[in-house]
Amino acid sequence: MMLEIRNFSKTYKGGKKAVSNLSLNIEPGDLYGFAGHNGAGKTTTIKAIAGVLDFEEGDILVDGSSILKDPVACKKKLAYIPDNPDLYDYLTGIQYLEFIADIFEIPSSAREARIRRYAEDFELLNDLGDLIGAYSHGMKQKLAIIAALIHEPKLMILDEPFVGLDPKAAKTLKDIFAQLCQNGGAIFFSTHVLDVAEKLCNKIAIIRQGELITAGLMDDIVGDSSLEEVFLELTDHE
Amino acid sequence: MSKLWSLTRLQLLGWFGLNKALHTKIPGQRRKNLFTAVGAIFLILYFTGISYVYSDQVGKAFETVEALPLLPGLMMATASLVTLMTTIYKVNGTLFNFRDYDMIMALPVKTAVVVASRMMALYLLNIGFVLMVMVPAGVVYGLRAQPEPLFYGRFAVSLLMIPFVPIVAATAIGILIHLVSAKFRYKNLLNILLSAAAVLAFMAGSSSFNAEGVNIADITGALTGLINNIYPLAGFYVNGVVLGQTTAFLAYLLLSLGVFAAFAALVGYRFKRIHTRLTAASTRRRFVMGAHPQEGSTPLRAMYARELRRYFASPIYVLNTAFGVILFTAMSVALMFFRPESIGQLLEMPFFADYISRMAPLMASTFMALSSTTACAISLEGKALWIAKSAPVKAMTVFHSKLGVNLTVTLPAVLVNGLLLMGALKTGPADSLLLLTLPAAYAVFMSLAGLVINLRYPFLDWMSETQPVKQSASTLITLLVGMGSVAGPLTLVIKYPQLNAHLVSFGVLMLLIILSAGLYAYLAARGEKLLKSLES
Repeated sequence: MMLEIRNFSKTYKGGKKAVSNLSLNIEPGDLYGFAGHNGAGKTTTIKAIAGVLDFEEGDILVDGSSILKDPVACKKKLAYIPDNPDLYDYLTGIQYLEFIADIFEIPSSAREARIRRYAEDFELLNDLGDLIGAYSHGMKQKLAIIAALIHEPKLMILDEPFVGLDPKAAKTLKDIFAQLCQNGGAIFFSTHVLDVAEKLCNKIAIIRQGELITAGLMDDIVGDSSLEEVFLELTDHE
Repeated sequence: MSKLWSLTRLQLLGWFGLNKALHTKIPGQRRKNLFTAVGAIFLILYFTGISYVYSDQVGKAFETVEALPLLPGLMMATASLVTLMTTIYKVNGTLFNFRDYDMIMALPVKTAVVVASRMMALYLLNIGFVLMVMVPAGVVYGLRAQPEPLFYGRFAVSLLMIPFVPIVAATAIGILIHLVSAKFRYKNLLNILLSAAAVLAFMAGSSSFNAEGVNIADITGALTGLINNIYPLAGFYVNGVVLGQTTAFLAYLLLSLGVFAAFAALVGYRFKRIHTRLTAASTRRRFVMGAHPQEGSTPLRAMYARELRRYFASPIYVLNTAFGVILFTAMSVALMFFRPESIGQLLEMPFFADYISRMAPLMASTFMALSSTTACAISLEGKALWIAKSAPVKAMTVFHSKLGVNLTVTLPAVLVNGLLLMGALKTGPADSLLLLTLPAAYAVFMSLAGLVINLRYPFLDWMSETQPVKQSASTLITLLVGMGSVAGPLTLVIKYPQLNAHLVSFGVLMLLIILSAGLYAYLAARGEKLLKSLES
């Protein structure tokens, strides 16, 4: 199993329960969408998987390692991109990528080729010498994606990855997703753009007020309807 | 007016995490807020107390030479000078480089009102300090001089005017420094150097008055010269507020308000243009991959290098945390060339020579106790904290990189200045050893204390770097801890001259080692959880 979420619950200080007893399995090759209204618990779940949010109940296993017991091993296998990636504005694009490459201990021999490849794919190569502070929102998003890819993760965890990307970059990202899944990796991403999820994902999970209301193969869940109709029906009427 | 207040209020709510403190529902957070508030009140009372004692001493001295009316003038000049020096490096963050610039400028509000609200924030930041200096001075003057009742009215009105002109001067200097440095590639470094040079120049200029050779018969004239030397507008203040000359009083009020209003209007008129020039990032020519190949590095070295870049990328961060180091170096170099007695005279600290010979290690440590880059190092991660949290490294690696930067700033200064002081003061073996070890122990302790305090009191959703660096609970508490840790032993040695200063210093050294070990153990045990619990 690439990602195993076991009875995960998260209660914030002050008593607000964000996610309740969520269990989900993501297998190699899965492109898993995660949908829900604003405040449903998507970002909380994603942050917990990425190891940036502490939790007390349940466990999350990345390729067999527990994020609670061995966070460093888990983080080495995954890549996380938040919904609005704030980066270090005082670094240049290339300095940031070199920094991430150092943190992930990517050998010098491999990093240049990878940076070149992804920077060319996202048309950012010429701008890597500029300060990130001078980048547009979309350019920062692209840089965050390149940084997430250079250690060749097995699992990608993304929060609203298509927001801010131009159509070409969105297409490039979709191609990369497909490639990674073909190679035995897995993707888990949250989205509000349901038609993208429907076209792209083989599996979908829908969460409402912190509780998982359905999860499984896209075809089984959608059937003859559309994901949008199913989503609205499940989230509004259940 | 309501728009001006709304925009000013928006900034005030961000100070020291005030709004969060008011609206939190978390019991633990409430306890923390209470602790911070108690600390802040203690700090205010402490400063006000010191200010009263200082005013009383100066008042007593002035009374003997029949120059008591100069006391409020001297304190007003001092408050103005400190306001000016501490505002220079706040200008960029408060006035121009704030994160919500786009949102604020898109509001249906005149640019002049936006500028006025930013300058009001600078005013409110300074008025508290002015009150702490001036109210005790007014009380001392009132008790000793028994002035006419009208004095109190003039004093109260003029009190509110004091920060205006220094803020205008500081803003003008700040803008000039930023505009000049913006033209260069290493603009942040140049900005830091020019700002530090400006502040040092004001300090040197204001203390250049030489008391030697003054005719005792004209001591009042000499003191007036001293005050005018510190701050020329003080003449109007003394004549108008203290001596009751209506023309001088009105001139002082009009000058203060007029200069402030005119400057706000002028900056408002050019605000967008200045903002664009100050914040525009230059783009380099087309990047060529492989033109500057870099060797790979370990995660810790990469984290440390990134942290060091972060430090030098922020002039307000550097100026606020390295000023102790700069002053320490200035003092050590000065002692190489001048006798301690002369420096004491220059600094208007008559006991300086006695203190420095008796307790040089403790005095040197004062500068280290006030220098902690770690007190806001976590806060400054801001919204980018997710990068450190999601990186495949242990929390201790992140902490080591932050501790490393503080020690990089402080330890070389300890070593170089320690050696300089040994030569200048011709210290014996015990003092020589303590001159190196005690400030170094303070540097280590303050690095760890600042980091732990910042982890407990983070301020991540800031709008301008000025907020975590200067207006956060974490920096306030760290300042309190630093001051307390050095003021305690210093007071002990000063109050009880029969005490062996070496023994006290050695005791403090041992205590600092134990406390530092405790703080490090705490970080190792709880750091991972604390870092993970931070929400940006």
